[in-house]
Amino acid sequence: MRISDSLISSNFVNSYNSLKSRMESLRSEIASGVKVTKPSDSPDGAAKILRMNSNLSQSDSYKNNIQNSLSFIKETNSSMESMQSETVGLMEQLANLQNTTEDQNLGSYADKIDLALKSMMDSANADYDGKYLFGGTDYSSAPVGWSADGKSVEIKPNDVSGSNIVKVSSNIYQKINISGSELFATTLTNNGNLDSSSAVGSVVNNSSTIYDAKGNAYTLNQTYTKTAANTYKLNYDILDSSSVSVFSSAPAAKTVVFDPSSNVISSIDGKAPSAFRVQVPGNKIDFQININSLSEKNQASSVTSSLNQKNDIFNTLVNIRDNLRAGIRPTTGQEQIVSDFNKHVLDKLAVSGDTYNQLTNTDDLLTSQQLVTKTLLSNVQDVDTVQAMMDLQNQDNSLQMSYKVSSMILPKSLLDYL
Amino acid sequence: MSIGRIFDISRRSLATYQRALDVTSHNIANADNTNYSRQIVSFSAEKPNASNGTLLGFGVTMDDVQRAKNNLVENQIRANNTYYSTNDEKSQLLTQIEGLFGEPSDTGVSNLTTSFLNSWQELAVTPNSMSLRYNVIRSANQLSSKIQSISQGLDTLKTDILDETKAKVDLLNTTLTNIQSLNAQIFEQKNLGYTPNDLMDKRDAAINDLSKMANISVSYDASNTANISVGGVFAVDKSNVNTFSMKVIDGEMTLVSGSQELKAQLNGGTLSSMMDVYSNSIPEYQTKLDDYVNALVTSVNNLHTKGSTLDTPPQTGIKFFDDYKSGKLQVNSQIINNPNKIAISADGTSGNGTIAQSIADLSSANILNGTTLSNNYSNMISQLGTETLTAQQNADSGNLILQQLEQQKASYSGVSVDEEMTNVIKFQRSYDASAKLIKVADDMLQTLLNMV
Repeated sequence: MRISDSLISSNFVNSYNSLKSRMESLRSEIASGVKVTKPSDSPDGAAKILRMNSNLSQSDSYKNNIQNSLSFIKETNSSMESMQSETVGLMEQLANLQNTTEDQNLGSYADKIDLALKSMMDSANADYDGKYLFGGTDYSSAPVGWSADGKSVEIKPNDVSGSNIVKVSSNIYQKINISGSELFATTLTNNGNLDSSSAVGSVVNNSSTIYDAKGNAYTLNQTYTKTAANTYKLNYDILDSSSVSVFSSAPAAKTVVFDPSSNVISSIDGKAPSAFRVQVPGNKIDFQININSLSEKNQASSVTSSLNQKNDIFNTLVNIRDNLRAGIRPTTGQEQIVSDFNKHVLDKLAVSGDTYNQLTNTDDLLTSQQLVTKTLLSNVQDVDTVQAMMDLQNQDNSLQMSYKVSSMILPKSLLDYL
Repeated sequence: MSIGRIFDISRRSLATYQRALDVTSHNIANADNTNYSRQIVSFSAEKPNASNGTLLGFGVTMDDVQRAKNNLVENQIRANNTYYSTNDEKSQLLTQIEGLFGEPSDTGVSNLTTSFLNSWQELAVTPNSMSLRYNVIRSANQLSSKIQSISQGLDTLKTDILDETKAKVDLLNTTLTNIQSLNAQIFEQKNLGYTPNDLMDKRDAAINDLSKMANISVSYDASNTANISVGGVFAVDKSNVNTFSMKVIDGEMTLVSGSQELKAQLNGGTLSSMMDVYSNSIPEYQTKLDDYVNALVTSVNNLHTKGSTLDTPPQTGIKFFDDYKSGKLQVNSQIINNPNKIAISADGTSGNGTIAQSIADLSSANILNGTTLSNNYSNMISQLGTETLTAQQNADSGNLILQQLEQQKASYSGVSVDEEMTNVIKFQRSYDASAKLIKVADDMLQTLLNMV
């Protein structure tokens, strides 16, 4: 091959450019610590990095949710423990009151119960980060308060049954709150089934006893009327001891629709099934009806009902306090309500503790997943600095050699010797 | 046979080697001129003369001065010039688009979208938190700014390409005019019996420049005139030159020729790449970005309008984003002025964040082209990366081939100073010898004169 001067110089320039280009690329990698700074560095790697960063960011968000939820649950548990502690004290006082030697101290007991009541109301109205712990999903007002006449306690007129559901991983939604309804409310639950083969127009009746804030008994009559296949109209009425309706006009009927494939209720009044509240302020009646357990089967209709408590803990304590001040000892039924509430709170503490543990486990799982993702991300994105430094050193050696050899050849020609 | 014959042969020899030294010095002077082809002197013996039954030589003569040129290599260089320039220009322009998207980074659309959707997730946990509502607005504004920045960047890039293309087309026309002038000069010189090597080198260099700009076809006629077409449309010969101009019709950039506006079919060269990126690549990525943003905006607004605000009484039917138009994405001004207008409650209660959770869940919803926003976006970025990398690799391989061809050309046509200096010595010695011969003849003549 004939070697011209321009051939030597262009060869040198090409080699020099090639070495400098590789060195610049290595320098950039070492300086930034990443080997993919733009999509064309590794199109597949860039897409992976975007997806993995997105996953990591989502995981961070889930972990934030979990930490916030754990704090919320800690506060909830603290409030419930406080209520449970008060309830244990109340149970002791109620036991002491059975002792006739305490007759002269009934007023003092009334004061203690009043203090306990206020303390429990404070716990029921506790909040965290602007959210009432037992306020369901309505944070606009405290869950419990005194009625206008100051003689009974009302669970606030808004909805305290809402579930605070938090997404804690891509597929896990966790309910983190114990709603006011769950903890304090009186709930009448319908069980059993309606006959799917019954004719349109057929009627199923159910009757139960419910109580007002003062403990007076009322009769709740429910009527399920079939209006179409898998569809029923639920009417209800509340009668006092004189069999007179407490409603000035009949409450609106509820439309209940069953899913024929699963036999469970698919909607109530076109919405997802949930307990609905019945309030008659004039009679201090406040409870909720939960028909979600009701099913529709091809067998004779059988609807039963059960009441979780005769009265809520607050109004029970109000009644006990007022009775004590009137010289009347608490009834066994009232003692039972306090004892039941104690068990109820303990149950809810167990539920809440279980939720806490589940969230902690999910947090651990997310941490572990993040670790794996970060390792994969590092493999795709991060530079092996040692390798890069060695490569850079090699390139630099080649460049120095190129300079040395070129400096020997480039300026020389026969002209130098003539 | 006379002594004068020796003078004659020597004189011719002196003139020949002097001209040979001229050519050599011309070669040495152009040693670093990359467009120069070394020139080779070809000698031959002068036509002999019959004298007394014997054919006697008349010395040396210079037949021609030829360029050392390998036309095969030259043609390959032109073809690879086009290939390399196409891919190099495309990779540079696509790298600019890559820069606009700025991925992968914390400030890219992907991360900002995730942050935006995550902000809804956090708001879903504490729906009445004012600071989290501000956080949603802030992250939405960051995403909006980035999207607007990319859209504006793509528009600016189109404008820049348009301006640069116009300048390149002007350069194309200037080069064509230059070639036409060189064609005419070469034709004239040839007719006068000369070999216009330097003019042909200049023309070759101009044709090489042309081959970097567009796909060209070159043919030479009997008079060595280069007839060139650009993109299949006649461009230049020795008498005529066509003027090209650039037209944008329905967003598509086209190279047209003359008053009839014949459309050139460009498939190579920098002009082709600029037109391709202007007419296809930028609109394609802008459309993909628009689809992405529209899917996000529509989905968020559909959910948001179903939610209730934190107002008393709660309001519904409020859009979170204003309609996305011309690359501009903006949060509803009502919401910016009053974060309580963020409507995330499904039942009107202040602690219900169902809608916020539904919006956050859009991150895993198949709302665009049957897959998630994240997958769509990362696929688009991957496609952009692949296109850029392919262009870069093609440019690199084209450059490697071009370097090899250039080396072949340098090997064949390049000047070797050593070689030329050897020629200088050789020609100088021959010149010396010729001069010496004159001295000998002169001595011979003197001897004869002294005899008289």
